[in-house]
Amino acid sequence: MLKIEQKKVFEGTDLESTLEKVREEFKAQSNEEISYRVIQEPSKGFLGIGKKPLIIEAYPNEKYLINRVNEFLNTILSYFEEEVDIKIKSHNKTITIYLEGENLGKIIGKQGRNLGALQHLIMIYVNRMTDTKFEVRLDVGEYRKKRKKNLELIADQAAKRAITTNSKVELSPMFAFERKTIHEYIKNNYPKLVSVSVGLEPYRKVVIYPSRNGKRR
Amino acid sequence: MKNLLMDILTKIVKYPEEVKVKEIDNGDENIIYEIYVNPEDVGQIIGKDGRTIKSINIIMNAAKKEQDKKFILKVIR
Repeated sequence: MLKIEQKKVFEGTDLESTLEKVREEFKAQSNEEISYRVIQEPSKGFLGIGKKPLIIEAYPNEKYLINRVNEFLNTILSYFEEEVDIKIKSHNKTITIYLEGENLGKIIGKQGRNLGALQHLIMIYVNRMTDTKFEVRLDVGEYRKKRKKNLELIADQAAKRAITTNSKVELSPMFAFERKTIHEYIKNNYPKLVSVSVGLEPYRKVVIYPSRNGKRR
Repeated sequence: MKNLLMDILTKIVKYPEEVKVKEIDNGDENIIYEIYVNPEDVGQIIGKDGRTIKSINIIMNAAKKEQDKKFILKVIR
């Protein structure tokens, strides 16, 4: 199986033809998707004596990964029959995908359900190609931002309830990225409360409870 | 929809050439897809707590047209 940044050695007479071999081997679309290092410069030698081939060490790079993700996503989204604009950025082992379009409701789904599923599948695909774990974030229009605000509101109400009743408050099941937002909000705004995730996926939920010393009990 | 299922499965397994999908329409409200993959890939397509196969199912049902039936996925060992 092809892995990103897995190096392989290639031999040829000149750079152009050698890179062609590399592209073929990695099924790369262009030289942009390949990174390489020359190990041995070619030498014509004299009368066939001392002739040396060009040797390079090459691997598919991050651009390759981004282009494959783009293709994968395009294939899936083609079944939704909606005009969707895809932008992908990769930074520090995190791939962020921005989707823009007129009619993304079907792609987002109820409470972002379809979006979560799509993000999961892309993550599986990406991590199949990489040895180091990549995070994948899928952002549709302004949806995530709005959802984040909404989650912070939920967190705030639950936090206030935990304080007034001095007992734990359980939230409804949420996706990992949603729980993360809740945890961050509680941590930053309510130092006297503690939040933990409990239960098994896909029913994992956040529980918020009062804590005297800011630590888990 | 079988094509969408194949497109996703072949991209996430180790042995894409061994992926086979059988479409079964019994005339009721569901269409069943039986999925056959290399034994090494079974875990990969099901995922932890069944999350991957569930995600595939969600995407298929999200992409379906109004008049389409509901899809059920079965991984056959």
